[in-house]
Amino acid sequence: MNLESRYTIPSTVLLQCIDDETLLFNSSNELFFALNEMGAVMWEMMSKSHSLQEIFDEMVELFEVDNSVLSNDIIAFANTLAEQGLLSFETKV
Amino acid sequence: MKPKYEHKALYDLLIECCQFKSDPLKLESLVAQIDDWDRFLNSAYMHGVFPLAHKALKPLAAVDETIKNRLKITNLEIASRNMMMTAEMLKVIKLLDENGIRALAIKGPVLSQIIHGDITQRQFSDVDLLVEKSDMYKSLELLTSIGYESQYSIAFLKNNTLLSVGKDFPTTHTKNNVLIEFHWKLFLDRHIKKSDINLFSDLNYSCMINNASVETLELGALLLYLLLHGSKHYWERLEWIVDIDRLIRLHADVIDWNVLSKMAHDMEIEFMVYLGLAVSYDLFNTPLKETIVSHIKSDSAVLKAKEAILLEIKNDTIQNEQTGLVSLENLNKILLMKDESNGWLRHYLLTLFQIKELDVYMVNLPNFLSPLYYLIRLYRLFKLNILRLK
Repeated sequence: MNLESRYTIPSTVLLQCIDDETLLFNSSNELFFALNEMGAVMWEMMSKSHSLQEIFDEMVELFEVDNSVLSNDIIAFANTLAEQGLLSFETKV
Repeated sequence: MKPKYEHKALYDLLIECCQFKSDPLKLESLVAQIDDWDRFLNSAYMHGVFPLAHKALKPLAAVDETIKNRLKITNLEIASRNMMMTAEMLKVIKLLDENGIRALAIKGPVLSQIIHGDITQRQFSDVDLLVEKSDMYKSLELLTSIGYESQYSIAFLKNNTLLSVGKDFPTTHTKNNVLIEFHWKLFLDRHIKKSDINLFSDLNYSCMINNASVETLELGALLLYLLLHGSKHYWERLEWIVDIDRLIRLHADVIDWNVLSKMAHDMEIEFMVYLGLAVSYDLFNTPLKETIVSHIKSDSAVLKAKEAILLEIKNDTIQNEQTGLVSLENLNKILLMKDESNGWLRHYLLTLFQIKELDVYMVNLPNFLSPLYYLIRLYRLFKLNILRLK
């Protein structure tokens, strides 16, 4: 996976903000996943986009952060979500 | 003389938490009067308004942090369960749709979304879906294929007697325990003489949940259904009264009161409709048309039944069944006498001799043998009464 990777959010994923928590629920594996504040910001961006590059570009504008650190963080976060079935990445044939 | 309420502060706080716009100063003052928070939290849960209580009390400095934590934990449990049931509902509606079956969601997540704009603000314990009678068997067959199990064989859904005397068929997911009640009717024939509600109307309302469009009844019909459902259950849960208040407040523009009144009249359920509106008006000052307000203020039977219901809620008898039953029994008589033209006699005769779902579930007879269910009914009556005498 790299910043060029494109993804979709499966229709089985439900998001809900409860108090100060953001919860994701995936009905295909029946697992809940809680996001912290930064995770919730990134998820919101992800839900409006389809590529990690677009999220990187948006976050570079918003936060003062080293590009390589940001890039690694986005890929790591996306990897974690994909492992939980919360994101599906397109596989290149 | 006004009746004395045992748990006035608890009741007043619950009601204030459920107001469309609760008053923070009033909340603070009521919070200071609560001496039994266990009872309050239990009441909020039993009345199905725990999420509303949590939302109203969360910002208040007067509420102890321990109580806030308890509110937060239980609210999170309710919200998580609601999410699971909503996801399941969306999955099932999609599956039915892919197989050419139109399904309407009633109450549960869709009602929460319509009146609160959020699936977590209303307590519900199951998902109610409505499909055409002719789609019942196929729907349950599809659900069985994805892990649902039912207490009775789905072959009963080909039994014309069951489809005639019953109205729903529950099924539960074996893994996550989500219960879905599949309805082919909203009311039992023995409760409503005739239903003029067009369930699969082109005017039905749709709302978006998680980017999916979910269809429910036309909002006037939904209001009528909720009014009848609440009255049948003596408005014992505040949640049902909140549903009425919010639905009217937020969607008054799409509710045609003339059509609704005519439907209530034709279905001979006017008393139950006015009773629900009277309770909502009394507790939440629901904005109603002048003509309706004057009707509920002048109908002595409605006023009497409303007072009986409010007494139950104000005395917190939801937690005290023994006290509750006495006045609920009286209320039952009032309800029966008002909306059934032959009153209690018709009701009890029907209760005794009309074939019930449980009679059918004893044995799945082929449709041409359906008259034999009358014998089964008599056998069960005899058996039940002998057991009672013993």
